[in-house]
Amino acid sequence: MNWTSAYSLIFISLCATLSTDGACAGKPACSGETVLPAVPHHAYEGPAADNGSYDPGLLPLLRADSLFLAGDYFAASIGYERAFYYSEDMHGKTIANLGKVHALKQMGDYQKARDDIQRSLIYTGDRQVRLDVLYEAAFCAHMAGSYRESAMHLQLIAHQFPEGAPQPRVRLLSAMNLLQLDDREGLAAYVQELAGSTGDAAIMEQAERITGALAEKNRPRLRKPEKARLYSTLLPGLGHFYAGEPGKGLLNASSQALALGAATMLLLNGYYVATVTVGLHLFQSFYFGGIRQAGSLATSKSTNRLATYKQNVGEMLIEFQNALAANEANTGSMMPAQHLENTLLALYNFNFYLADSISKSLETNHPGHYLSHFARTHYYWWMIISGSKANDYEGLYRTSISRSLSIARNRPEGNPDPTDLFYLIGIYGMHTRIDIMNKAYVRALRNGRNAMHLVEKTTGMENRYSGFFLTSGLYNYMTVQAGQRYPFLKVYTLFFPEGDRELGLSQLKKAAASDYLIWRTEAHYFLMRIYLEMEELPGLALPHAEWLTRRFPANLIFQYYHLEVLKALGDQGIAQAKAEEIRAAAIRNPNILKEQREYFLSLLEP
Amino acid sequence: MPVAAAFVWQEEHAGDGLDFIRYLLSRGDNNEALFLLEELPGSTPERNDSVAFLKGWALYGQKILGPSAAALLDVSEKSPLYIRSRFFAAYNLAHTGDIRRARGIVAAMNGLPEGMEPAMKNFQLGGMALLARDYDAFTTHAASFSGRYHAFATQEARLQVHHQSLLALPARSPLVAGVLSAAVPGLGKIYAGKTGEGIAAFIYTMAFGFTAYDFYRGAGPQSALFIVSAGIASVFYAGNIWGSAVAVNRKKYERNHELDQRILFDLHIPLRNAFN
Repeated sequence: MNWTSAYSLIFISLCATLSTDGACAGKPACSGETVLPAVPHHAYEGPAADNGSYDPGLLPLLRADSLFLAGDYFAASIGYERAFYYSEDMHGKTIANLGKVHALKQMGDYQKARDDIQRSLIYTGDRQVRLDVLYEAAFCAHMAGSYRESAMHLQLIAHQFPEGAPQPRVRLLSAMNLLQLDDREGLAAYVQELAGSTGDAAIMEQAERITGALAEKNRPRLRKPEKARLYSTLLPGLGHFYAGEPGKGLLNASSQALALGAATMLLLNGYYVATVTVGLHLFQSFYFGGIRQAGSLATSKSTNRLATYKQNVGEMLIEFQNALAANEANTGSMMPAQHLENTLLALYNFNFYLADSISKSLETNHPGHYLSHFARTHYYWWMIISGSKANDYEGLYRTSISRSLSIARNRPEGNPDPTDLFYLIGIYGMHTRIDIMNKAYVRALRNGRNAMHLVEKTTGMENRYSGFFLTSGLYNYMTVQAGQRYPFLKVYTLFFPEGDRELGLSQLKKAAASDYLIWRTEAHYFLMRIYLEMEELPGLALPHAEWLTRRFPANLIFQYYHLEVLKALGDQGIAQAKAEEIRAAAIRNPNILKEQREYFLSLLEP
Repeated sequence: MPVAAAFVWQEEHAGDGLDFIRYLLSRGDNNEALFLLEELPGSTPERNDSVAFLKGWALYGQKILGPSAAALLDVSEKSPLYIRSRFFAAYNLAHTGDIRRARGIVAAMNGLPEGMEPAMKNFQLGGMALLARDYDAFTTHAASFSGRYHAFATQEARLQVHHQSLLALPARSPLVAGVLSAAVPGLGKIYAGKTGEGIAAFIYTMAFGFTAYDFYRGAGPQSALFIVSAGIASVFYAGNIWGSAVAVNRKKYERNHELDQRILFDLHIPLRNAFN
């Protein structure tokens, strides 16, 4: 699990920054920032072909997203349905349908969400989208009370996505289904299996507690209504006692005793008709009414006890799941890489608070790992390019990247695995980036040269490690571009392999089709920038911009470039609508600072 | 961007802008369709007719029949949707009990093309005459029932049956029911057609009566037990007489209501068959 975009920075930073003659100074991502954020809903790449044509469902989809972000879920659900209606391909329809399901979930209409998601179960395209569809089908079925149906969808997930551990959300839903289906043995075994795979004593103990709670002896004693009725038939009030309502049992028994007493008194006084019509009539009413009441009390009592029990176990399962997630985050050799990925995803989603928290925690807990500082560097970078001046982020950035580079350089020699090489390229790239931003070109070239050595080393390894499609693609493309635009750079790259523009673009497209979200995002970002600024083919940049903003709608930098693409296409109406959308998003986003908000609003000024 | 503006933009870029709304209606998403229709701006008369019709249709789908009729009546005579709108508006009004207006709307539909429509008009007027219990008018319309059109041939025959059922409705007098219950508790309810209620009333009234007698016999007429029980028995006795008189009207309403529902059902099915 790794990422890098930084490498390309060497080239993209040189070429993009220089090619605009500083015109982009101060604008987001001008030096080829990297990337990152979370994954709220889905990714729609729009038209897959290079002809830049619109899918008719794409624009409605953008509108629906805006409404969703504005919290108008009803209107958003209509918007997504419209996108579904107009979209001409199954992928677009599925993305729209997922959006609608999200909107319906926000409205609490799980039944309708469950019905609508059925339309997308036949989708077999993008694996991530397929996974989302199956999960939503399972989730909505669960929330609509169809636990077996939910379990069936989860089984499909397990069957179709066997690689790796199940996602936390899938695990939790599986456990909740077992709980609701009252499969306590199955649930206990599942929990034990999950806990056993961690080897963590605390988690094992937690699993034991859940297993204990699921044991028959700890299960609430459910009352059978037929038994309660039988008891009250045999002895007035006894069924109420059995149902757990002794007070009502005593009241009912007393009422019957009083009625019988009245009947006896009437009989003894010679009122034979009244004995029947008053005394015995009242008695039978209390007697048979008491039997019925005992049964209904047993039913309601059992229902309440079971609901409380399931709620308690459910809360234990949620705690257990959290502990599992925490354990996964804190163990294993890939831990820093996972944290780095989470940091990047938080940044992609413009959730700076979360990115700060994750990267800071990583740096604190793993100060000796180069990725810890690398993640922190990304956080600082995004604070810089998003216009934050709350700290000396540039100084902090330099410190972090230097630490990261220092640790990475001192790693034992030998045959580094592709992941390490990939990250190292990224670290050099990030080191270069800040130098370019500050016009320290000599230092930038030195670090860039180090990165290029590594890229040369990894050329040809793309099929073995698909992250290299990104680095090689950028190298191949940017070397040609830089040479054409700035002949003096040819001297600099004299001792490196020649680039290949077409090959570079082809490799970037392969990276954009990768299963790994971070590479995919990076590749889309660079393809967008390349087609917009270097190839000057905004029609080809559009699908990539759309992908980025669909996947990360809160990311104002991606949104900004999407706007630039729309402007370049000359459709002022759409561009204006997009600008308004970005303005609204900047005002609404609670996760950015005031100065960042003002920064983005200033970018939108005519 | 305001919600309305977003949708307006969409409509301007998508055919006549109403295809999607029709699609929503076909899915049964009436709320959603209405939401969009409310946001649509005024436009050409043709489009306004379409919007009025779709609003009426969405409201009809939600069984909000009064407003549905009002929207459908906004469709102009020039619209190809005019005939359909008028028929459904009249049916909606008939369903809400405004038979007079419903008949007026259908009767005013002149210049119908040759073919099924005039026969449908006659059929609808016949059914509405039955709803209004205007048997003479029904007989006139029924004379023109031809059974030629598959969409409502069966229903024409059924209207005749309903007519006979209406004529055969027993005439019961509340006064007679009250007198019968005064003579024998519960008998008036049986006369009204509420046999079960009559038997229950008989048992309860007699039980309270005998209880009062029991206390009268044992404790004397001055005793509290007798006074209370006799009071209760009297209330039950008098209440049963009143209830029997009311039961006649209650039963009459139930029978009429049931027949009205059958007539409305038979008026509705042909409209759906012919115009869906």
